[in-house]
Amino acid sequence: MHNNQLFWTQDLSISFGGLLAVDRVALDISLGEILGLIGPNGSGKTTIFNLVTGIYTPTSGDFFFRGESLLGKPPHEIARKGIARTFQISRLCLDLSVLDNVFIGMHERQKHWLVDSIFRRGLLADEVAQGREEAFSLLSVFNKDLLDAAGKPVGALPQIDRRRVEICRAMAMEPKLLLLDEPSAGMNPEEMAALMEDIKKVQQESEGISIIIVEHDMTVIRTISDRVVALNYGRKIAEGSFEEVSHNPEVREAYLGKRGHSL
Amino acid sequence: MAEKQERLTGFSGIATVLGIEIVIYGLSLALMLVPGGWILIAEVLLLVAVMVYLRRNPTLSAQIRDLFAANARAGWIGAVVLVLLIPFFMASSAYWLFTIILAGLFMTACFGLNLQLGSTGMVNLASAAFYAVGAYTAGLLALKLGWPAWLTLLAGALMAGLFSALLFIPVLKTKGHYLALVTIAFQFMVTILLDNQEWTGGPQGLKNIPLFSIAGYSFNDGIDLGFIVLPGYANFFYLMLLMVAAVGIASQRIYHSWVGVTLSTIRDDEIAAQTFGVGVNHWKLVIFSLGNCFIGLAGAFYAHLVGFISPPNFTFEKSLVMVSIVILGGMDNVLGVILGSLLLIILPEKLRVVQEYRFLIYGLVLIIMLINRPRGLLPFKPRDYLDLIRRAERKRVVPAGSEVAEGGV
Repeated sequence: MHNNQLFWTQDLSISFGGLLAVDRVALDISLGEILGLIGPNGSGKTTIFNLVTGIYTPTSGDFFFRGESLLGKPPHEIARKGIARTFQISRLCLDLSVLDNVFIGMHERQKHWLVDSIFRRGLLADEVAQGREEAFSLLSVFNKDLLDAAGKPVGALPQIDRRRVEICRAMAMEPKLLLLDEPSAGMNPEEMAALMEDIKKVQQESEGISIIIVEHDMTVIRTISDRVVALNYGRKIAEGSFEEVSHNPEVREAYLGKRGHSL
Repeated sequence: MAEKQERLTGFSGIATVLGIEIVIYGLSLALMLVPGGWILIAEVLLLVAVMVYLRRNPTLSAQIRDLFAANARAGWIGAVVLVLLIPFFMASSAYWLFTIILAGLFMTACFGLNLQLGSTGMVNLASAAFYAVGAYTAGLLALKLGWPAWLTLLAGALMAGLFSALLFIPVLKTKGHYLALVTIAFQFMVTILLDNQEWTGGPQGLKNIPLFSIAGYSFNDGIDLGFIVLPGYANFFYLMLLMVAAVGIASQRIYHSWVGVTLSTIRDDEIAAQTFGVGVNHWKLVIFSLGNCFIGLAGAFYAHLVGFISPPNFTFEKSLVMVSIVILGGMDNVLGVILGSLLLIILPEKLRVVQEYRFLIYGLVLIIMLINRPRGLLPFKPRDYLDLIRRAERKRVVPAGSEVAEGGV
């Protein structure tokens, strides 16, 4: 059944002190697909991201990546398998330069260790030069201005550029699956449109990458996703194309409520 | 443009750089060698005046910065020569030479503490305990087994690293204030143990630890150069310089590498670090142990420098001084540690002229500095990697096959 799937979850559940935050959710995504994950506040979208990146451990259920169960693995091991993410509230290191923030995404590919950092500067020089080129080509996908800011601390950048750096950092991991948690939060419509363009570009440049995107903004979801899953109270209530899901009565009632007419 | 470059790097540029260095050097030496408190007051006033002037004239301070950047090599050579000459000016004041050596030991220890606290964000308030582990290991091995000093130095460093394993679980399971509390508890346990065990000499400590001697050359003898006799401490001074240079360069290289980036990320956001494949626990253990190795090395040196160690040398207050050095100098900044050690070890000695008000003034200075520069005197700066990138480019220009040494230092 799951032969073409890159990633899927099986009855994924977690409860916090009796509250079922995620209730037997089954998700799947195939190679190169963009899956939109929608649902009202507190419906469990971010919790699912935290579950599949190993920050939380599921109470029950399982999840598989390229046919292998990742249940119970610590976050850094899951990351090494090829799952990268961004955070709803940016988790960049604001004091570090843009370049250093992207470099941490390359952590797994950096060969040299503590002793090398002291005694083998030549090796490090090669790796830094190569990493810098890679980082620059990633940053230039988004915005040429980011290249000029590469040496500046991230804290000096505007919100939209921080989001871009965060996505670059995730892409630097060369992931197979990218999880974007509300990438457009705190942006105006123009910025949001620009960012969506960027995400499309990123996906085209790295063939085969699959993206799960959590978004509140329905325009974003409509333009970007191939398929949509709707959640409510931790349960999956609908799945299909954007049109199908947005016309699903349960979704309208539970999630869109009185705003349903705007669709 | 070319003219400007010429002006910066030409003879007059180098002369200006060296001139500024000599003036700072002279003032620092005068501060120690001129007796009385007026010199301290005069120099503090001068320093404040210069700083205010530079702040009012940002172009001038930018010019000075460019000048030092353009003549970095000459600047470094000048600084090294001046430092090497220090014992010659201290020929008749061994006390100050000893104080400078002590500052060097604090530098070494604080390089280690800076790796933990500044780079990785692990609060360690037990640095004096690890300093004690290094000192007692060296002392006991030298006294009971007759090990030579160079070997006890290594053993002291390694033992401090091994003792880190005792804090293995708290280091991994607690953060911030909680880790601070655990390390304070450890600090007190070590001091109490040292006070109550027979084999550590109890409150009397260890006496008559042999001072350094290498191949029959005793470090206690003065150096007779014909025209001048340097005090015995000159030997220790040069050995201390070697240790500070080795540990300092290692620290700077760790900072300026992938490892440094990894540690910064752990410090700023552990969850983000994990999300990008960083084994946070692994790195915390490695850095906690390595930092304590540096602290233990300094402690072992101390045992062979003074020849007598006892529990009061290794109390909680010493841990606080080390933490103050790192915070005041600038977190995650190797030069900041050097500056902080010089200030916090040498100034209190100078303040002895005001007797009982010493620590009052010391505390006041700390508070004023932290209010004005909350991120330390030399704050953390984003890495630029310029020298590494230049190095990689140079290597690429050399035609393939003609490369002499791959990797190298």
